[in-house]
Amino acid sequence: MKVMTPLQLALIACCCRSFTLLSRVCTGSSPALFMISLAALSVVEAALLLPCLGIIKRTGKAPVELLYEKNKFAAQSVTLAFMIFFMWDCFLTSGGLAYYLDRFFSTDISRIAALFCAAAAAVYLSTLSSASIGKCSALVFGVFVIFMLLLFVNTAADADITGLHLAQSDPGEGLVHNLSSQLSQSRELVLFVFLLSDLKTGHRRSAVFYIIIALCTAQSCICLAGIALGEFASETDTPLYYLSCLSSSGIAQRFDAGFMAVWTALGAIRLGVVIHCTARCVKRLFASFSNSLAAKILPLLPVALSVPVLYTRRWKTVVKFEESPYIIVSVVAAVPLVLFALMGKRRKKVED
Amino acid sequence: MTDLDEALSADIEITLSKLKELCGDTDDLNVVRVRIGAVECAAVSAEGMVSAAGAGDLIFQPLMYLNACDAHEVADFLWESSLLSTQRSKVATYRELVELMFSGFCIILTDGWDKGVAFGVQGFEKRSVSPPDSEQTVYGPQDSFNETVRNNISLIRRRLKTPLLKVEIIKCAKQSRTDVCIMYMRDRASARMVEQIRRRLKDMGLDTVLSGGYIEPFVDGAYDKSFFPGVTYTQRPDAACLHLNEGRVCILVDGSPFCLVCPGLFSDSFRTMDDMSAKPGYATFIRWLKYFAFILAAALPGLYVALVMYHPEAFALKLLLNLYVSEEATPFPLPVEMTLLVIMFEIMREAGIRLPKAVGGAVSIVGGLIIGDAAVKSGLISVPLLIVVGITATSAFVIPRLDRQITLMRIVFIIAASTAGLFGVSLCCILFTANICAMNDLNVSYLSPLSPLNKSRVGEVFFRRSFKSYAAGRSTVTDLAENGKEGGK
Repeated sequence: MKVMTPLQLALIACCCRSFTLLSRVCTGSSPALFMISLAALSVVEAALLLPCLGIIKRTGKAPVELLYEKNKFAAQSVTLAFMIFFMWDCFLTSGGLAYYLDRFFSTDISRIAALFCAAAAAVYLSTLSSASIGKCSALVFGVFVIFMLLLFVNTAADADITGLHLAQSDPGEGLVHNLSSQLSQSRELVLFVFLLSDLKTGHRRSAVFYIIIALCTAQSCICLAGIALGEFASETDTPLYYLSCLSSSGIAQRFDAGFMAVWTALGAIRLGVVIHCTARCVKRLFASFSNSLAAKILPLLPVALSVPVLYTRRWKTVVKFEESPYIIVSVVAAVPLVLFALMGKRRKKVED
Repeated sequence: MTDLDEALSADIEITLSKLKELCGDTDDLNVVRVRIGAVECAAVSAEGMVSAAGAGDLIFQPLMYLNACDAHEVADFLWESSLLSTQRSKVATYRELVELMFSGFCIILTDGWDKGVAFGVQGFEKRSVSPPDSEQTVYGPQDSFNETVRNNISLIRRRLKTPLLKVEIIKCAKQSRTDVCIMYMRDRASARMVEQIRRRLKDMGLDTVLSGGYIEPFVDGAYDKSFFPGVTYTQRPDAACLHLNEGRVCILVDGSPFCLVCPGLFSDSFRTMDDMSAKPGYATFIRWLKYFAFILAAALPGLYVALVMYHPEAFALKLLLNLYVSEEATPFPLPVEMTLLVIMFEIMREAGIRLPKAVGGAVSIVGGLIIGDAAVKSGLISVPLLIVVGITATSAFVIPRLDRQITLMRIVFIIAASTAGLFGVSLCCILFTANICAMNDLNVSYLSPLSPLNKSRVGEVFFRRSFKSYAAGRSTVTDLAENGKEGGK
């Protein structure tokens, strides 16, 4: 039986986070404040994961698995919620891949063709076991780190620490705004919680790995963009892309082509993981006809739905759509908290 | 029709006539009738498979001095009170008789005894042990396997003089009844792994097994799903010993000069026996060089096409201008030019391999020098392109074990690059990486020990460990099994 290690699970989530980071990140007027917000976000994420980890520690089972034992209807409702969330994520990821590719990079390939190619690769990836996806994510994340190091080496000479804009008027409001916007983009947290059931042990370790690696990566990237781009980092919503455009070395004049390769790989991983999770939800919800063609096509429905939006060139409205962070909070933490409450009640009854 | 599993008859006439009937009265069936004392006997062998001198000296001469009154006396002499050959076996059925006869045994049948005795006096022609063609080393041993399985076993046994080395020979295939030998170290190879391989070999159901390639699809559990080979081939006995010591299972097939090593790992392709003869620093450098060569061999043409067509801004200005001048002068689009050149190279390579060695050299002269030079001079292809294909071809020779995969990857990358630039190349990389990551046979990941990460062994992927660290602790492939402490689905 294939095994997914805690580190692999953490790296799956980190790959997904890195894709979002490379695609779109609004640092606001102060990258330094944004970095503090990222640290705060890590604390919030850790707090959100605590109930889930607590359930696993106490019962040895993931919350949804435990819920299936207690109340099948409630468990199916939760699975449905997960599925809808993954489908929404799939829609955003697949459309985002095609949209940003067309927006930034020079390729003759149309948005729809790009979407089809990325979806084909992601579908193959999604058919693999979570352990295999974990291994693949680990390698891709390694490449991402190497690429960022390369950017760092080639921009270090132009770095200026004042670019971080340490002074900020009304930092409290900025912090809350950044935290809210970043939390609403942390959809990988839901993936992480869903895939936690694939681990037998080391759940807490995996969460610690995820929090630390994601934080370090995001902090380093934003710091690098801030000190290398200065004002420009605050003005654009894709600072890392522009960082790669402005980096140069003796061999390569620009690094945006490399950026595209790494970004595409991370995007394919994210899309693959999302489709994988959606397919598992479909399998669980519609077990009786899970082998039918409809059940196999259902996870790809969001990809198909993104086609008309991309075709009519209205994806920008999707990009600007502000998600509520409470959706992620409720999907991640609500079920474990309810389970905790139920278990507490039962214990009280037994004690009485 | 006589059944092969039918027992031999005590009447020698019936046995011989049934044997002839079974073999379709074949002309290479050699039956020598002789009277030993008062007993009718027959020596049965296959033409050309038995050494005439060996059979004469070891079997026929001692039998001539025997003055037997009945069959039991001959049987007693053959089986109990003499040592005519080191390989001796009692034959009870026609199946055993036929298999041993066509394996080079001489079988003595006695009238009045329903069994025969087979003596190993093989004398068929075989190639002598020679230096390996495919895995040459500068400082390592210069012997290699040949087509005789027992010879190959001895080459390994000579190097591993331990009772822990187990050799199992099983007969595979319905028609060829080929000897397939499974070798493993009892204390290192996982019993489950050995059992799985044994079962896969027994369940093959093929008619013939003529080389290792016939059994690879059955032994490699991920054969149909994977792009890369899940079994490592080696022609070197020392490499086989190294793998045995790592707890792997070696499979030798009679008639094949290659040993199959299960499970195969991706990093195997980047290790050579010369690594063990060099100092760790140099061996590590060579290992890194091979990884770099692999990337060049597989992806350089695709990357070149993608960068020149879609991302020329990545090139330094001087290089860009040079490339522009060169590409501008050629009549074909870049992807067509690249594909044609790569295919031409593959044609020449294939011709060079299949042709006799003396003519093979001429192919490289005609292909590489004459055609290449003429194509550049006539302006059909650009010089940078020729350089790229040349580097690619040379890099591929550094990793001969992944030669076939590299060839296909190269073409896939060119197609992806020409249609979608680096976006396509990146997606293809993901597909290949995912395929490698999904490979898992005999509970060992193909990417082990890199992924899943094995802290104690991951260094071996990139560095050659020192012999002191080898001495400090052994590590086996079963340490990499994916049923470790951290479980999952």
